[in-house]
Amino acid sequence: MSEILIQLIDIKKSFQIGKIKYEVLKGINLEVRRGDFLAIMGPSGGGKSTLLNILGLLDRADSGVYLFEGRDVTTLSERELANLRNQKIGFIFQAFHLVPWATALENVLLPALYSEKITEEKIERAHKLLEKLGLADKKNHRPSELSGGQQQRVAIARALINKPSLLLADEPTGNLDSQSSNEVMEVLEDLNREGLTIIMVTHERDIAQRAKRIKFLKDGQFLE
Amino acid sequence: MKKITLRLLLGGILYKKLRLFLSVLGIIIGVSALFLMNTFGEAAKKKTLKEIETFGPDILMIIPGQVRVRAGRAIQTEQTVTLKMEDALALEKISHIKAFSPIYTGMGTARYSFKTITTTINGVNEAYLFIRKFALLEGRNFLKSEITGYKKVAILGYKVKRELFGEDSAEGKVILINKLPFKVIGVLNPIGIDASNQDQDDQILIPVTTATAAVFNVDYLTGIYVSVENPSLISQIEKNIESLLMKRHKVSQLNKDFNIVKAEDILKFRTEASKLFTTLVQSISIICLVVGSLGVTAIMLLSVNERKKEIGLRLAIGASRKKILFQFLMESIFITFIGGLIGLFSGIFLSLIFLPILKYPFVFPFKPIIVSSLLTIVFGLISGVYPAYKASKIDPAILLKGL
Repeated sequence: MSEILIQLIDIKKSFQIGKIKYEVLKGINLEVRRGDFLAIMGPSGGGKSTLLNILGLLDRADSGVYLFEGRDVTTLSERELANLRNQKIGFIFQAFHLVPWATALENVLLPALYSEKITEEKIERAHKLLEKLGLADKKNHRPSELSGGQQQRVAIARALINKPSLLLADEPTGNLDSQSSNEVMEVLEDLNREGLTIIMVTHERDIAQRAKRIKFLKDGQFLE
Repeated sequence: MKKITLRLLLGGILYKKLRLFLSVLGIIIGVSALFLMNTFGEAAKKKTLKEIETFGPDILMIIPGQVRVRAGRAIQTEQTVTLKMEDALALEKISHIKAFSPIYTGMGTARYSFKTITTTINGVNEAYLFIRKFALLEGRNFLKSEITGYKKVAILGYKVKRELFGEDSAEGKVILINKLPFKVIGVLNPIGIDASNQDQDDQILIPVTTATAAVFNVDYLTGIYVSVENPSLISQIEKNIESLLMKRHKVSQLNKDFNIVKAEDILKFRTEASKLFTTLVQSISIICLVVGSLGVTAIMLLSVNERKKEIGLRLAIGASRKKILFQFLMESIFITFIGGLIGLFSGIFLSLIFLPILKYPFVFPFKPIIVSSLLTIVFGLISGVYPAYKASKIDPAILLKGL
């Protein structure tokens, strides 16, 4: 067995809205090994987004332990979390979230802006990633000039620019037609085969089935 | 810094160009107004200094009657006939006076061949040119004997010479001043308007003796010019002259029938008169800048709100809140600075048009440029603080909530 990348132990999270307290995550336990491809399914309001926010270090759990590469990240400062997100985690979103005024190439290089400097090496890597994802002739196009599938592939290239150990995908095919969905899923499967760990949230069963394993999240708990 | 780094940091600014332009319009107007007013202030100061150059720091002028200062200019309120030639001659007794010249100023007509003009006739002595630092274009100064001998000789101002003689030489020709024949012995260099707001090119100088006795038939003077050996002695000499004349005229401080004016006084009055105007216009420009930077604040807030996703994304992929704060602060400063730059250039452009029209000397205003640039950076900073703070407080978790 390969080493454990992520370990969640009894993660709890609740939100206070007015006087009512919503317990969104009621003690989540999860282990993800390197090279895994995990799909998380579940109904809306089941806590999928909250879990993904916590996994992606965008939000903190109320209680519980989160070990990332064996390191307890619950006690890290904002600054350290930002660095960790930058270096170790790649994000792709349902709505792509590309910067509208920047070209495809510039979008891919955006995370590099926050690592140290944008080096020639990084620019070279951005070119290679776009070529690998079949966007060689779209490098200087703006997002508005690209199709949904192409935009999502730019977003994937962006997620990969800093060589992360984890890719988090939030409904990556949610805004795509079935053909583009298929293309994007093929890219993710290829990346997984090359050793990238992926956690994907989706509510489409046929998409989820392309992952190595599936977990169901309902009412803040995983179903067995 | 690489070009692409710069693009990724500041590229968002140029995304909506029309809006950008509208937001910096206030800054542009504010800065160009500020620049223009500063430039005009400097130019006016330079003009004043140039005007009182012929009325240097070593010169005193004794004016009969009460003098009031209005709009920065000494105005004689009534015609007084008590300042006599003997008063001027009595100044010989005061030490440290280098030279003096009595002056009688009147209007007269001058005629040569078939051309007749009306101009100022100044009766002076041989020291006048030296005291006023007037130079001659052609010919010579008065001789002492011509003054004492009531001779009919004249030195023409540049404009008078041009009007009567055109390009021809005037030296040695005979003109008629109030129907009396005068021989032209010299022509003055172009001088322009002096501190007393008189066009020194539009005058004819004749011996003061001839002026009072033959041309105007009076027994008093309209002033005495005095130049002193050392400008630092000027207030002492002013006092000495004052007490001498008060004794001669048998008057006291209260009913004094003359006044002594020096260059310093004129400069002071001028500055005070322009100060109010300058302050007013500068405050208006500053208000304009404030309003302009409020406009930038509003646009930046709008922009932050619109780019929430982009900001969330930047935070998600590892930007620290400090970096976001810095980025948006830089955007505001950049926007106002660009606006300031445009304002500066339109200010320079406008001043190049208007300075010659108003006959102001050209100045290259370093101070206004530095002041306006610094102000725009300061206002950019102020207008950017709140939007940048808002941007840095955005929660990156919004990205996961679907659209």
